[in-house]
Formats: sequence, C-alpha cells, structure tokens
Amino acid sequence: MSVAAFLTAALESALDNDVATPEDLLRHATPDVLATHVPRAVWARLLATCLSAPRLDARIIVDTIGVSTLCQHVPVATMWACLAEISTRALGRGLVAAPPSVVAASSPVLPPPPPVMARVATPPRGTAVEAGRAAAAAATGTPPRGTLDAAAEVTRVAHPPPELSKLAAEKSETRGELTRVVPASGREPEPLGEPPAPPRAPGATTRAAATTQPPAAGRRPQASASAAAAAPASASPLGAAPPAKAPRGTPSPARRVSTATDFEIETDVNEQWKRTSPPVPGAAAVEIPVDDEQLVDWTSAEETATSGDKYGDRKR
Amino acid sequence: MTIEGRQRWFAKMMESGLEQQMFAPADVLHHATPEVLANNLPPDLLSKVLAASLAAGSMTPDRVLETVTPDVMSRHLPHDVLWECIVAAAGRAGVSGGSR
Repeated sequence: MSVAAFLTAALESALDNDVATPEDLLRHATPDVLATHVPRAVWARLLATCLSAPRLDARIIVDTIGVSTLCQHVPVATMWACLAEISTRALGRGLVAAPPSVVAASSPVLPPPPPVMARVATPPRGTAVEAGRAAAAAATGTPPRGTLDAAAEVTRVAHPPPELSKLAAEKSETRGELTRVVPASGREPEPLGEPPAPPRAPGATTRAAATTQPPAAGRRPQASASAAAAAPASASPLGAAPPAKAPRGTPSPARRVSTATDFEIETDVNEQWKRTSPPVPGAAAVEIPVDDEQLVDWTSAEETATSGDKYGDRKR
Repeated sequence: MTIEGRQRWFAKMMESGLEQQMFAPADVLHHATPEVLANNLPPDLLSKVLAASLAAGSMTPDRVLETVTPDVMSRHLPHDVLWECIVAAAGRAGVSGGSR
C-alpha cells in the first residue's frame, strides 16, 4: 500500500479536472515546508526555472517540483490535509449556511402563530369596560386608548357624515355667520351651542341690545350688532363682503365660534340688582329691609370705640 | 469545477485507492451499502450485477465491483459516500489531520 501514490493520483487528478489549483497545494506545501523536505537537487532545478521564467506563480512551482515529488517528500499528513480541503470545498461542506434542500422546501409550512402580545392586549368585545369607554368617548370626544371599536364610535360621533357637514355649512351661510367645521383631525371639539339664557326682567336689556335690535331670535347681541353695522355699509346682495370694523371690545364673529363658556357676564352679575330696582328709572334710593339686630352702634362697639385705648392719645 | 470534472476526480481517487490497496472492494461496500446501491444505481446496472453474480454462482464484493467500477461509482453514487470510504482508508493508513 502506497499512500503517497494514492495522494499523487488524487492530487494530479484534481489539478487535471480543475477541482484544485496549484495555489491549493502551495497553501499547505508552503515555502518553509518545501525548504525543509524537498531535496536540494529539486531546489536547484526550481531556482533555475524561476529565474528564467518571466513571471512566477504557483503553477510554475508545482509543475517544476511535480505532484509526485511533493507527495514523496512532503509529510503525508500535510498532503492529506491539502486533499481533504479540496474535497471539502468540492463537496460544498465549507459553506457557512448551506442552501435549503428540496426536502425541506417541500415540507408542509405551518402558518405563523398569531402574536401573543396582540392577544393579550386586546380586550374582549362587548364588555362593560368597552361600553363605558365608548360612552365616555361619545360624551367627551376623547377616544379611549387601546380600543379600536370605541375609537371608531368616537369618529362617528365627533365627525358627522359629509352630508350633515354640508347642511350645517349651508345653514351657517344663511345666518351670515362664519362657522368652522371641525376638521378630520378632530383637534377642536364641536361647539355645544347657545348657552342657556339667564332669566331676565321684562324690561331689562343688555348694553348691546340697547343700541341695536337683534335681527333674529337666539343671536348673540355682539354678533348681530356687527352684522347689522356691516349690512348697510356693504350693501351686497350676497352678504359676502368683509365685515365692517367692529367696536372695540366686540369679538369678531369670524375669529371664533361661541362656546359654552361665553356667558354674558354683564347681565348675570347684576341680575339681583335688576330685580330689586325701583320701577321708576332714575330713583336714587333703594329700600332694603334690615332688622334691628343687624344694626351696629358705632359709638359703643368695642371694635369701633376710639376712647380709652392705647392709641387714643396719639395725635394723628 | 464542473460536475464531470469532480466525477472524474473521484473516479481516479477510487481507482487509485483500489490499485494502491488503500481500501479493498469490501471496504467500498462497507460504505456503499446494498441500500445505497439499490437507491442510486440505475435498473440496468442492478440487473447486470445480479446477472453476473448468478452466472458466477455467488455475489462477492470483488464481483460487484467488476460491474460497479470506479467510474460507475463516481457517476451514480453520492460523492459523500465515496469520500467517507477514502477517509476511512486514510485513517487506517495512519494519515491524520484534515480529514474533514
């Protein structure tokens, strides 16, 4: 049995069949290995050839030395390692990640399981919590977190269908007011409407109402005053002309719409006074019934006595 | 490196291994088992192996390899199996290191 002969045949065949290259042999049979194991006669022939060659590469070295000589003088383990590396590469075992085999591709593919987090985070439908969130969303316009159904409900309530929005816009144009439809983003809630009118005396009027008469019922006095002042100046049949300059302190109707907090403070503060005012305008005295116990004697009361105290002698 | 080149290379290695007596036909059949042969050899070769054995009166590894030559092995049998045979022979010959 000659392992060297087998290695020679195997490596020569690998070179002949382009399975291996001379660089593969010299990667194991390094110059140090050659200098140690190759005879000097072979080295002399190698040096002569290399000196005469226009360029030097691995093939010239392998062809000059010969695979048979290499396998005869270089240790078998070294040449075997070379053959093993060639075989490993030829058989495709050197790949880090082998391509999927046909058997693996034809195997049944199971569907991926649903994400666990989604199942945990989604509450069951129809629960009392969800109903409460939906109701709160409908009342406040704030979508609850983590509930898609409730968010859709809020969208339906806060943002009316396009038909209703169009009707609302037409109604606002007939009134001559500039209203603003809540955009789709829903940043500003819809106005709640006119504030509740405070109870008024039969003859009581506001300051704005004393100057002009409201053109329609339920209109704010300031808005109607500006509209009424702008009407004769513009004289436009469409009423689309820019409004005239409003008096100081009068909010522009185009600036913002009325909200629930826009109470008429002027009429609310003195409501009790108006009820107790004398029927005759211009009267100066107002009679308020007071008991005798509520009266204070300013001369005898301790809080108001000025004689005998420590400050009595001080000159002011 | 083409498929044909690798086949010729393995054919040469198997031929050289048999010639150099690194491994015997029995060693080859130790790796190229009857199951491997039955699953990889074409029907005409299986029929030829059976016919030659019937004619000789027995089926031996040498007789099987008279039909299943190194060239046939390299063309039909998996090269992994052939390489395992070579590696095992190298191990028996005392060659160590870099078998894989």
